[in-house]
Amino acid sequence: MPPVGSVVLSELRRTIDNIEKAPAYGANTAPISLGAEEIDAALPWGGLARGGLHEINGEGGSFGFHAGLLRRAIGEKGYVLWCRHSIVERDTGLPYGPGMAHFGLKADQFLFVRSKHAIDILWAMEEGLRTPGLAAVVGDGITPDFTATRRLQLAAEATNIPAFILLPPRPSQQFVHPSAALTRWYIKTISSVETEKRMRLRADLLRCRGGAPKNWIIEWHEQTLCFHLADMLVDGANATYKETA
Amino acid sequence: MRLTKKRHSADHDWRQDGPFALVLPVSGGIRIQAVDSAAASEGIHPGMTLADARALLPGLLIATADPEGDARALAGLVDWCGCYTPFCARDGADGVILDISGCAHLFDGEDRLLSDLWTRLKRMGLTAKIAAASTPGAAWAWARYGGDGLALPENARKSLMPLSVSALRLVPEAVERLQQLGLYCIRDIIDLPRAPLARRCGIAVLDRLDRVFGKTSEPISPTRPTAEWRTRLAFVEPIGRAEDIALATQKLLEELCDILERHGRGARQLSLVLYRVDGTTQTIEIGTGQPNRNSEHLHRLFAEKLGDADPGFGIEVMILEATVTDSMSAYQLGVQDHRVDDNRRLRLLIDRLCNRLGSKDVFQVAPVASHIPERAVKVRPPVTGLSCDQWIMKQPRPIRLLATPEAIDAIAPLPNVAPACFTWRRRTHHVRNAEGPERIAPEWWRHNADRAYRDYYRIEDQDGRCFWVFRHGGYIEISDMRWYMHGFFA
Repeated sequence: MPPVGSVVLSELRRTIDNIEKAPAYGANTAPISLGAEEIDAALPWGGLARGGLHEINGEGGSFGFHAGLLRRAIGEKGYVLWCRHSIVERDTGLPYGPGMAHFGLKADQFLFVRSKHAIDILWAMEEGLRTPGLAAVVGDGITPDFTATRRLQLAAEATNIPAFILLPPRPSQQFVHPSAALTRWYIKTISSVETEKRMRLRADLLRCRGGAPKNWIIEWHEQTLCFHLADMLVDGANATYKETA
Repeated sequence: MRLTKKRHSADHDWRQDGPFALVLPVSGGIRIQAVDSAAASEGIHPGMTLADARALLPGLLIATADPEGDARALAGLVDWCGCYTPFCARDGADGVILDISGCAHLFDGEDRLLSDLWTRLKRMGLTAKIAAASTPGAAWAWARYGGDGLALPENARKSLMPLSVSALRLVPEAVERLQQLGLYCIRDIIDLPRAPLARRCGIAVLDRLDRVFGKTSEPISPTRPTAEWRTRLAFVEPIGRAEDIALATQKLLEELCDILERHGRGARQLSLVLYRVDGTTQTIEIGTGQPNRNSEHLHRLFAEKLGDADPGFGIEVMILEATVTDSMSAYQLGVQDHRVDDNRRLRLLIDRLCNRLGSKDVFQVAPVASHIPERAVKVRPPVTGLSCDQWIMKQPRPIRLLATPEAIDAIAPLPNVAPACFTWRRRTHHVRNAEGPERIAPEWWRHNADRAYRDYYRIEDQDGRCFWVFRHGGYIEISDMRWYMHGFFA
């Protein structure tokens, strides 16, 4: 057992740390809970870090996962700056309001920005991240380089605004680009034949600063606006997805 | 004040030695349009045919006149004159008229202003005749028919007397008529009884006379709209560095914001005009969503665009105008009320985004009461803190919608069931699970609307991806049936 003095000292250090890192008055610093306790517990922040950059990729399902995450992050009244690359319109379609409504997201919560140039998107995201009062910033359809992600991460840390990047859809889990994001997710849909049409996804946490990669099978519950771990299957297979399953 | 611009189009500035004239082909031959002083002293005057001029002076150098180019150059010059006064207008084909009342003190008096203007024009390679007078008419007369020198002498009335009647800006017929009567100078007609004069030569003569002597007012209508709120900064030495321009802009903004604050106004549109040494101008404009007079914020908006500023050979004067303003009451920053503050910050963010990306690319969406999926959303300009109606959705709707439905090759076992497999973007998907159809009828109350029903299916492929596809048409003739991809769930 360490001597009492050092406990007091480390306690004090933590308090000072908290004061120093405290953001502007009124800002929310609590981590973003996904709703499923198991996932929150596996993340080093007890949920997703609020002041951080999170990258989401996948071939299908990434939009649903992202919408759910966004709803968890901004709550009922938060305001989102959604910056999308024009290429999105052709490739993956536009975010569709009535569909978003199923995730508890409302029309007047979004401020959209579109541009043909990735540099403008990054600029707009950074401007957003430096504006206290926004609840989240989304970059849609861009693949930023390391410097860009570092800038976004620093901006997000400073104001405690979460930033999400929806990478252009890719069929494999291989992220080729280096990035300073706190977490990277790869999302894949899983057949929802047996699950009363609930969106069922396999979420791979590929990288997590200060945490270990992991994966889960999750479902989105429209009524509770929560992610849940998928129930155990009859044959006793664990909810944690196995490649062979 | 009057300024006569000698007509030399920019491309004729090469000025070879010798008498020079500009010619223009008109009906009845090529005629002289303008001459330089050397040619004028040889007896060549505008309006002569080229053949006559050549007979007089075989060595005459000529070039074709470019009236449109001249007009453009004159318009540019009018803009440039804005660095002296906001009231400047074009006057005929070769003149600029400025209202300098209340502006002379900026240049330490009228004389200094005129000599400054004269020097600058000379530096630009323009031979200008400049006159200042109490009425536009008198200035016009003195600039064109008066003696040398810049300003009209103090005893204006007396010095105008010996001028020709043409100096009254009369139509040639009226001048001719007066001359037929033996009235050549202003002196001759000034004391004549007014009624008989009007009867003989037209009322226009009296009107012109009154305008020259200030009995009738003659307002100048400026070419550019004049702003009520403006600040001006003149430099001792022309500036050209981007940092200097940014600094000057900041100074102007601070000054303007002070003025706006005193009057309880906020700027909606600002324009910054850069007056370059070579007599050209550049205008940089910004707009804000809400009235604003925060110089820091406005400076950030300008900073985005100052990169396009081209100082050319140097900028002499910068003028900042608030072209559109709105009333804006004073407010105190709340200590506790951070939500109001957040809203304000969001508005500023919207301004910055609009300013760089264009207001068309910054928007919000709002619901529209329509069953047609692509019509259920409309784009609206961004407004903060205003809640709108929400979508009430009982049926599943995709999270992403393609802007235009894409045709797919689908194979359905029967015409009225979901497809068993389909090819979209060169990839074949096998349908594992399907739900539907949800029939969406066309909007019969709209003209030119699509008349066919759409049967939407939510289908899931072998990988669990969920698509929204629809069948279109084919109720009467099976060959008309088409399948389309419209959106994605998750």
